[in-house]
Amino acid sequence: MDLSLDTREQGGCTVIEVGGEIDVYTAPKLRECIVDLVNRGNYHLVVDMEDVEFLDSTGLGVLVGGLKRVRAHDGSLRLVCTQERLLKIFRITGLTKVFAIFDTVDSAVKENPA
Amino acid sequence: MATVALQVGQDPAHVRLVRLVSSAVARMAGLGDEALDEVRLGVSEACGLAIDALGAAGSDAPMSLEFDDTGGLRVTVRTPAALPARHEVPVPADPALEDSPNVAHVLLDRLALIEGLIDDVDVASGPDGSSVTMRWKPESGTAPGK
Repeated sequence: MDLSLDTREQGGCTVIEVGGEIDVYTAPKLRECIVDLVNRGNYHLVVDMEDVEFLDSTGLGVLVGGLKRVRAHDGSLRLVCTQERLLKIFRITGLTKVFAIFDTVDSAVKENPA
Repeated sequence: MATVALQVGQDPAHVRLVRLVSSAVARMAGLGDEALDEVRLGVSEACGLAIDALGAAGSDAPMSLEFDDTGGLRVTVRTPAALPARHEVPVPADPALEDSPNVAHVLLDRLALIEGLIDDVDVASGPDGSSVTMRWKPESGTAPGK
């Protein structure tokens, strides 16, 4: 499955619903999406990863890059993920200490500091 | 089946193809779902590493993969280029934001991820080329799905 990206507004945040595979081929599309949102003034992002089937370090790099972008505007980037196989990757890379990871979009949006 | 060999160009789109083959071979080798996830990610990262290495060397050579399901699964990814030095694989972030405050400095090293994920890994790299070999044992009580 290719990468699918849908965005919507919820509770003052922009929710990016990501589906499919995030790898060395598709990660640039996610990066473009995040860069475009930030350039249009969306600084509080929630990345919903519940439909992500595969994630590699290129995808992690894009998420870290996105976090840096929004932090530069005092924004936030929170993740929604309950899939153990993805959470394992975040733990191995130490990124659980960098990203706020939530079980649901609603709980991620509630934490919106905006 | 004993060995499946692939030769793949550097197009990142081909990495997904390699993952599909990896999944099929891992199932044939009798690996369980958790190991299958490791195979897909390990092979994907090793291919990414190979693409990085070939790109850094300015080589247009393909990478080669070998899958051996004798007593588990062994996957070797070879390139005719040396691997990038450890901890020099950059995060593909915007360099202008490198000094952005409040973000922990995270360096995503493909090899570190492979070694963190997979118990049995051998890495060799020199001027004549490089290889990453990953091994998985079959799940006890699981018959290979041949």
